[in-house]
Amino acid sequence: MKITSKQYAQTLFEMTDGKQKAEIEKSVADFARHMYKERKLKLSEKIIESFEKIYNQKNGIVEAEVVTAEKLSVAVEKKVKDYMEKKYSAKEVVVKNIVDPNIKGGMIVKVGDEVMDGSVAGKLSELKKVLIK
Amino acid sequence: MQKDFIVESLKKQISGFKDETKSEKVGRVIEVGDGIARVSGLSDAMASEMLEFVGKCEPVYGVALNLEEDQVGAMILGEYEKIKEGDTVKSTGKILSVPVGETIVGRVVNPLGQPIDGKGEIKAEKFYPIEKIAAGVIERESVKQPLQTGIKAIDSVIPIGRGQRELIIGDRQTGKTAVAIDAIINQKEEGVICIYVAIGQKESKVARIVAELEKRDAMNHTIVVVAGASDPAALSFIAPYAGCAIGEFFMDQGKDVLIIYDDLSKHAWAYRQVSLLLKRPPGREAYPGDIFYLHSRLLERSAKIGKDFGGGSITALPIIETQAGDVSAYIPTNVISITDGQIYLESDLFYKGIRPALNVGLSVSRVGSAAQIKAMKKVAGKLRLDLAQFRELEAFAQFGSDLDEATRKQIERGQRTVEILKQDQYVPMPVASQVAVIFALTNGYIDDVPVEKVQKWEAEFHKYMKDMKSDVLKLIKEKKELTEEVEGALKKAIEEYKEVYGNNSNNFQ
Repeated sequence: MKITSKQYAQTLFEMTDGKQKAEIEKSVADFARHMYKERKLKLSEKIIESFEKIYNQKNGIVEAEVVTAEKLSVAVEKKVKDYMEKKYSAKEVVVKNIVDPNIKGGMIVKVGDEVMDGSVAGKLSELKKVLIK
Repeated sequence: MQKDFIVESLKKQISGFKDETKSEKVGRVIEVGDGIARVSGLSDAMASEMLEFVGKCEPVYGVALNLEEDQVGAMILGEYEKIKEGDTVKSTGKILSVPVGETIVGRVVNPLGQPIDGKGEIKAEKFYPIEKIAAGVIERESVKQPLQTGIKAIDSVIPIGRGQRELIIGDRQTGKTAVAIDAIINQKEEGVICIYVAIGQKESKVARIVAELEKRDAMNHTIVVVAGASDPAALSFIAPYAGCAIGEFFMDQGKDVLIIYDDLSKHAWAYRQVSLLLKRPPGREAYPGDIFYLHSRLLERSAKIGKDFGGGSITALPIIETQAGDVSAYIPTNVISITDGQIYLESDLFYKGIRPALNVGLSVSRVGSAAQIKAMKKVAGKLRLDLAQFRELEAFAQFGSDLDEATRKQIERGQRTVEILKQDQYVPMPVASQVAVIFALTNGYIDDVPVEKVQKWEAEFHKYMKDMKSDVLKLIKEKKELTEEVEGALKKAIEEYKEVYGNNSNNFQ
């Protein structure tokens, strides 16, 4: 049977979960050696991606991508973090700030496949739709 | 004043605009091509939900078909060339549906309900989902009302009832569409709304049909749903369902609907294409495993609804094109087993000049005879017998004079029956006239007319009946039964006609 990269990532997570640093290093090395033997190293990128997802999920970490017109100030970032922590009942929120002047103002928050569009550009296009009707 | 008004109304408009930030689930296109897109994310997408592909230009819509663990396989309804990898895809929360309403009658629309005849927008009253579970046992009643096609051979031998599904099957160029179009034209005075669904047809053919319907004044009760040959396969795939949804709107209002699917072989091809591109495993003839269900769930939606539930009906005439007369191929056998009978058209008969090229022996109607009017039932029984006997003896016809009297007579009768069942295109015949001429035939009034003159005799007969004996036709139409009174009047009329035209003009001796 074909083993998917997700299954590999799950295995890796189980091998390393709750272990000490030295142990983890050994497990990872073993895992990599096994992958080399099985000629599955080309999957490594996908496995790393899946591993991150699994790790975040198990540890209650939420990664949020925040698009703003200008760089996020510390105060606002704190607010966003607090809000997200409540919303997803997460232990930790990692905010990745992307600056895009095209959105004019406000912000767009992306978590996984969920998007909250609070940008001025988005509002304007909504308004345009309503007015055309 | 003017300025104030504009500002005021603008303010009012804007006040209705709610400034809300909602969270939505979006996906990202990972792969796109041949009308199919694979989308990651979209974890809350429903089966057959509309998806919106947001690109640089106008949004394009698609339908979620395959819901997989972390991706969605969608077919794209529209121009997929503009969709790129990485584009955002939003779910709309709506199941794919078509706009329906009274104003759609007389229009030509695409499978999404958008007009393509350039006659302006169609105001929709409601949206009907294109996939709907068919009416159940409780709501239905048995087929008992005739749907007159105006074609003698069909209305007499293979009658169709309202709510029936009758397959029209035959090779290319045997007149399948012609039968269907004649049936539409004949509904002009019957109050039946007709829907012609063209699936993967040449646009020129559709244009010709629409022009013909307009010329015959039949477009006022007809809707044409077109998925052309150049449209994406996804549109061909949803076209019959969209047509059926439009039909259901009228059925729910208690109206009778006739719907023609032209043709379901191309529909199966379109679905095969979509399925294979979505990597669903192929089965027999490379069709996917659910090809039977594809057609059965469509045709099951035609129904006769009981009086207590509104009393509408949808009659379906699906068309199947066979390859070189092979009715045992996969799709034909499937659809034959779903429908309540078939009208079988043969190219041999067509080239012999028997048009409509109906093979009366192989065509059947499983429920329609219950729906015939009594007068027709009476004359058609004899007709069917004559034809069956003729078929048995046909091979001996070439021996001519060597045959005994009874056999010769039967052959002669058979030949005249075949002549009478011939009918030109676009001239549907009212049921009373059909009864009259078949009555004349089965009672031996035509036996003394030479075979090659039967058609002329018939044409003159109809003219005479219409001009001189319209009261007899009216009597048949009203009584719907051949009582002694009606039979007597009919006999008298035929005898008088024979006297006037048969003896004086030397036309028919």
